[in-house]
Amino acid sequence: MALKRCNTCLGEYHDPQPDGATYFHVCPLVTIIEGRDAAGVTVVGPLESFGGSALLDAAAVQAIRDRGDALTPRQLEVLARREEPRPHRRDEHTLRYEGEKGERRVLRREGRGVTVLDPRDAFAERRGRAL
Amino acid sequence: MIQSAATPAVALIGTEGLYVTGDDHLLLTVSNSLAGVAVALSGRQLHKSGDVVPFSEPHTPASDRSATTRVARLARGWLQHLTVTVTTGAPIGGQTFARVDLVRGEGAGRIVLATLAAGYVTARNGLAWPGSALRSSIEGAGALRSITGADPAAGAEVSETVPTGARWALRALRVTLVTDATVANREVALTFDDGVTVYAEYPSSVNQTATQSRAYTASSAGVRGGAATSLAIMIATAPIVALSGHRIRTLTTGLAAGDNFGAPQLDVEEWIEGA
Repeated sequence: MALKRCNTCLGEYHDPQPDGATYFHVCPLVTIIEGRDAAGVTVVGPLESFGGSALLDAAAVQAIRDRGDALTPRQLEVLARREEPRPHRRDEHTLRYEGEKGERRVLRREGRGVTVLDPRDAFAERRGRAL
Repeated sequence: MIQSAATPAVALIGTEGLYVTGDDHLLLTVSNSLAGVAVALSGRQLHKSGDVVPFSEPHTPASDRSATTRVARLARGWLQHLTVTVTTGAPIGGQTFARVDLVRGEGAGRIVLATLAAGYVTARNGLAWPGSALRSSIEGAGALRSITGADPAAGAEVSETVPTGARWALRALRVTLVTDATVANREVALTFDDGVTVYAEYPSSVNQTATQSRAYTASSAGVRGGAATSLAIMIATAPIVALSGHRIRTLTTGLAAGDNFGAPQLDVEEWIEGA
């Protein structure tokens, strides 16, 4: 009944939803960048790890070369992008129920768990008014 | 009414009921998407003794759309009528689907002899046998839902998965994108895939450049024509119906590590799948 943050993908979501339904978070795919830095070295990694770099497409790189300039250490020429399943991804859909009365819900994938950012049900008052 | 000199036989009172033996019972199966819902299977049975005996079996279904069951044991006699009503919570149409079967046996050896009632129940409308028509869970109007999706971290795309046990028709999706200072054109597309393979891709008609905040709305309403000077960008989509496990995602050409989508807001029509 809260605002939660997934510890794997850092996505934040409300559970339950405004209408009272349960929200089943699934981590998004991760974008993998294959690039070439100023030294000509190929680097591969998730897009989220290139926060300190300026990612340039082929047209932008060509424009730099046409000016007679070279890439700066901060610039990276993007050679390819692809999307892959995220490592340690979380999937909150039900795998099965356990316990004598089936009271424990086992998730498909726990991933790295969640952090509860706000335990309050942000939409409870709105649902109460709707009734 | 048949009578003997010594012992009057039991006759049916009112309309005919459904004769059941002690080996027959009612199986209530509920698939539900709303937390805090409880239902009851109630009715009356005319026993051979001539007594009309009411029954009421409470049931709290799961809220993940999985099928949960409750058995109402019957005595030998005539089932007069039954109802399924919501006793706790306020589901709207499309959220709580109930089915009542007349069965014999237990577990894997169970035999379904008849389906007496099947349909969505709400806080104001239950199911009745006799009376209610048998309905499929994907028939008719679904539940209209406004869903606040997950707010992805910077550098991540929006991704919403159709929940297990649900079928969605996407009516509209709105999401904002704030781009960082990386000089590049971002083209946002909305894609639909079956969990593996993309089967539809709808790109926006306008690129977003560095250090901008734009709100994207995807719907079947079409695209804006002419010079778009406001902050809203439209993506024209077809009316897609997506099954459980299918994904609705953004795919952004030129997405930079510091670009940040907000939480998507989806307007969907939802049905319980396969109940």
